[in-house]
Amino acid sequence: MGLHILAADDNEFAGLQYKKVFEKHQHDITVAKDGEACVEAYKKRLEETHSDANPFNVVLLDFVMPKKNGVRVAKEILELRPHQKIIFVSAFGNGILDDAAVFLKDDVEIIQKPFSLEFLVNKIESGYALKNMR
Amino acid sequence: MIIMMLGLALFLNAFTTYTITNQMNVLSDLNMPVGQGITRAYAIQQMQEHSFEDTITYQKLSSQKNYEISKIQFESYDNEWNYEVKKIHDLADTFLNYGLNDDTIKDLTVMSANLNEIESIHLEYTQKANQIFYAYDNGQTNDLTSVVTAVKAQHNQISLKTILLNDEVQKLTDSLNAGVEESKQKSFTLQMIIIVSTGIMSLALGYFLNLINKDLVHEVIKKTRSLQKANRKLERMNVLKDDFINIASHELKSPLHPIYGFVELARNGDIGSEEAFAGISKQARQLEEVANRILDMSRIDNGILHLSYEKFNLNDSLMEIISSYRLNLDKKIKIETRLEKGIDIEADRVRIGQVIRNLINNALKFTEKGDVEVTMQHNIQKNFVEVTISDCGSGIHPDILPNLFNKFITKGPKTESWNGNGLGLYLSREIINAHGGHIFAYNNKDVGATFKFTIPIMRHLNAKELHQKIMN
Repeated sequence: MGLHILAADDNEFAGLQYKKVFEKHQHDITVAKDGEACVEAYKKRLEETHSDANPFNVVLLDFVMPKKNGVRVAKEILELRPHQKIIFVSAFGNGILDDAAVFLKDDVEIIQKPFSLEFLVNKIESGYALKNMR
Repeated sequence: MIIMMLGLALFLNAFTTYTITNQMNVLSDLNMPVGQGITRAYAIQQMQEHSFEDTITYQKLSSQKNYEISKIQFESYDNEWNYEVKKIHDLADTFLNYGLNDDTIKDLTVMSANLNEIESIHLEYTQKANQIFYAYDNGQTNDLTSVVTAVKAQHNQISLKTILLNDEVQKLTDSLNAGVEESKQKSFTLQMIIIVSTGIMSLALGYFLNLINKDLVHEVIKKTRSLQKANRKLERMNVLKDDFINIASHELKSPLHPIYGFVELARNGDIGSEEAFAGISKQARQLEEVANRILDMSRIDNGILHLSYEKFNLNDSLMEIISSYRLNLDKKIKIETRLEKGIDIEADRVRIGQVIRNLINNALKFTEKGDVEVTMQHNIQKNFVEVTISDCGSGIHPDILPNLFNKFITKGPKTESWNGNGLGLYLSREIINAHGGHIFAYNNKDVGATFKFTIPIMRHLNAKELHQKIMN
């Protein structure tokens, strides 16, 4: 069974690589090239699904993006769906994220760049499997 | 200095006081007993004369008993007189032991000589008197009148000289007193001079110290302010530096991530190696660009941004850059050009290209769809070319606009809409300024923003000065 993933990264190659690796593992992935596009994609799917469930299983957010940064995107998504699982991907050290972490919830995680694509896939798959077992 | 002067004054005072006290001692020791002695000697002399006259009277009256008494009295007065005069001598001798001035010693010597003279006259007087007594005792009463007259004359002489001696002593006292007064006066004047000059010097010194102190206070206040300013600047710089390190590490890490991704995907056979190599080399170029920017910034900060001037056609350069963008452009965005007839300019081709790329990058970053317009105009008379890059994106936030070209002016990573590393426009401005040109930006009336720079067509000999002139 495939997961629905929304990934936002302003590096076009990073976006393409997410697409490649997640599709390889039979997941459905939507890639946005900036924060604004990401929020729009989220809203669009929210309208299409007409369901109480979260429109995506996981939202992958780059921290630094044009137009809207990751934190702002996360805020807007969490306003729509307070329990949306979000994973931040950041090239910053953890120190810079401390401030942002104040409003971060249990459903929000941070992964530091660089990491292997398989690691990301495993993390998302296992996390989701764990949640479903409960 | 003041302390030295005061010390000197005190020392002089002590010395003068010592001298005065010494002279006072001499005066009291000398004048009292000497004066008294002379007075007594005079009185004894008078009484001795009375006794002498009594002997003559009693002898004439043949009152043997009274004659004898008078004669004994005469002798006892004689002894008394001698004793008194010897005392005066002794006193006069002891005075020489005091530290007296030359005049006083001279006076004392004269006095002593006069006393000796009186003494010798007195001796003659006594001898003559005894001669008369001897004659009386042996019954010779004749031819004595002349001797008696001589005795009386000597008595008068002694009396007169004694009175004169007394006057001399008085004179000596007066001169000593005058000396004391004089030295008192002298020391008082000297002390006053020292005290007054010390006072004047203290006042002057105080005044100058006050002046110096005021200056020092001003200086300290000024220095403290500039230090506080410097400190605030350093604090700001430190925050900027922290930000910069975060930004730089982010900028360096960001392209690394897809490089690893390409390697991983290629190894797993998910993509072809050609695709991976192309992606990796593009990311590597981005890394290089970041490194170059950091290097440029440090060059500018250390004032060693050197321009290598060459003649080139600006339109050619613009077209070359724009074509490279057009290849990878989103279909929604177009780059339009409005270029005046091509012109050769004298500038650093690579650096100017860097600025143009920076401005086009910025324009594309903020434009989702529509046109980015690149315009070139020139004015040969005024010796400048003007390049304008205008987009139809979201425009520049009014908070950022005034500091747009400063270092790290982006909204930082902690705020919401952070873009870029904050170095591009700073570097652009420094490059344009180094050419003697200027760069500025404004928001368009309808949509988007416009960036504009002008540089001299022909290299300006004093580019910095020209830049200042334009800015003013």
